[in-house]
Amino acid sequence: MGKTKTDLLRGTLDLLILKALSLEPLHGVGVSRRVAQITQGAFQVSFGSLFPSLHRMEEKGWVEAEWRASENNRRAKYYRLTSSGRAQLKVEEQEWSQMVKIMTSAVESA
Amino acid sequence: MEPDGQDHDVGGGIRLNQVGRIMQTRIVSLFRNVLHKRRVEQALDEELESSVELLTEEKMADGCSQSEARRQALIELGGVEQVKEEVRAVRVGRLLEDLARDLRFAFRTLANSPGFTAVAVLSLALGIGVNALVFSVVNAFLFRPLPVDRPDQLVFLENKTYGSSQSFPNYKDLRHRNRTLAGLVAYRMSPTELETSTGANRIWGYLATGNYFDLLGVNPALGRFFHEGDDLHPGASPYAVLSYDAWQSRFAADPEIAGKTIRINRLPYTVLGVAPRGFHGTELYYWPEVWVPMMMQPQIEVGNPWFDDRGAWNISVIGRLKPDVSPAQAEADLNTIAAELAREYPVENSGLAFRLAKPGLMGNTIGSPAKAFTLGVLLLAALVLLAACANLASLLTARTTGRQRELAIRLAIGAGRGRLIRQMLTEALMLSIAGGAMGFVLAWSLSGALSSWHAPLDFPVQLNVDPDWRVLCFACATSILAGILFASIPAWRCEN
Repeated sequence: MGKTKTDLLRGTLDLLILKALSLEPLHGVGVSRRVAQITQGAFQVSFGSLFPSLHRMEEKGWVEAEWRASENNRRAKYYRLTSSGRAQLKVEEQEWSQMVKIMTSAVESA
Repeated sequence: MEPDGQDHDVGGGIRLNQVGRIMQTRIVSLFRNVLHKRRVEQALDEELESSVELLTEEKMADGCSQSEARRQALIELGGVEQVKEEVRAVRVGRLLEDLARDLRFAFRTLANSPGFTAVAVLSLALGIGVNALVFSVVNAFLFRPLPVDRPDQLVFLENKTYGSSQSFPNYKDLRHRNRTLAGLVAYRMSPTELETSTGANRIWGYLATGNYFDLLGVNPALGRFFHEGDDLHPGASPYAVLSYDAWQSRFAADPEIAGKTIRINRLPYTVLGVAPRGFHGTELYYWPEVWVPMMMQPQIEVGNPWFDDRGAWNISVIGRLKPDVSPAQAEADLNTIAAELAREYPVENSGLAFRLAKPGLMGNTIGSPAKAFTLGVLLLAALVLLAACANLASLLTARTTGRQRELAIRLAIGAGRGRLIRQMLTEALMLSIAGGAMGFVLAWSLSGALSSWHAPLDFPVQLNVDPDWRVLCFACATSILAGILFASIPAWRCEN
């Protein structure tokens, strides 16, 4: 499983991050924990890929960042999904299920 | 693979919208990253520090001591500096930043050896300048369109036996029988005698059929042009249209010239109007001063009428293709008529066949040798530049050998070979673009002289070779190519 933990395809990582942020705004560590939670611990995103992804999405306008107090009253940078981020999430979800459908039928056809 | 059409379209719509918005926010980010670099870096510092603290608290909640918790937090994060470097690498404007750094370094390196830099820039300026100059001549011959309406629709009729010439009766038959051309004009270069206040002057002009200006789609600068109805009966249309230059130089730009009478070959002609500036007919090298309707031929060329002589090959013919007709279709159509004409008039027309060519250089009669000659000269100029590049490459290689120490240090502190090669390429391109800019200015000033040069002949030969955007593109491309070329040899040696 070492490979899936680190070498996540960039697109898959984006989809997971968008999904994690779709419920509520989270800081970087929170995103990592939420991804682990919604994938039942299968994906442990490394911070070396998570932060670049978050920053790239911020530059694309999919997420907005805001500094505020964390649950333990520490200042942390929270990321929130924008409307264009939501649209992107929808697109990526569609593409993903399309991909799954195709791959499943391809695998089962043999 | 595709979802059903409708679904896909909806997705595509969102995509397009998205792309626009992403471009916008990315441009904003680019400015932020470049202009407020300190603030961006500081925010990243703070974000990572707060992440370390959040992780530390997590570990302490699991029962670690504070120092152990912090140690584990840093391990999980994977190194603050490493993460920072990863984030920097994806920022918009990263390439720009690298480029700026390379340019600054290249500039300093070159400024440190002014002798080498001057020699390199000067030899490139000469090499690229010569190429740009020769190319502007090639451009004038091959690429610059005629100053008429939709020049790509115009075709020049070549006669397989008589080259660029046709006979007038054949021209009339072609006009009536063809189905592929929107129109055909006939014209002829003709010398005449024009009387002005300074006396009689020998000038060159065009005899042209009445539909000439209408078919070419040119508008007068002053007055009007002659039309089809002005050119019906021999000797009945003593009208003249002046070229812009003739109006300026021989009639002092008289604003009342239209309607006045001038004397050509001692006969009175009414000036109808003045052609627009820069319009000089359909030959690239010929600058006529006057256009006279074709039906005045017996008066202009006294004693030699050839309107009804099918064996007199005296006129040139240009046609305009109907929309959606290809030159090949038109050529086939015209050759069907040629076969008919050969049958009907076997004495004059046996073996009559047409070939279509690009107008501008009397078809292939002048066109082919002119193109071959200028392309040959261009090849020669390219060789000169190649020699300059070879010289510079060896100079640059020698310099690289002298810079072994610097390069070794940069490699040792972690610069990749790719980065070093990019640096050398930046230096080379800086030299070649500086040389190219100087070369273009050189070509510009020389071609101005060439354009305004009148051959000392009794014939108005002039070729407008002023550089346009095509020449500029050519100079840019040549500079970049030259830079890559002479950088590649030292880079290749560095690679080994």
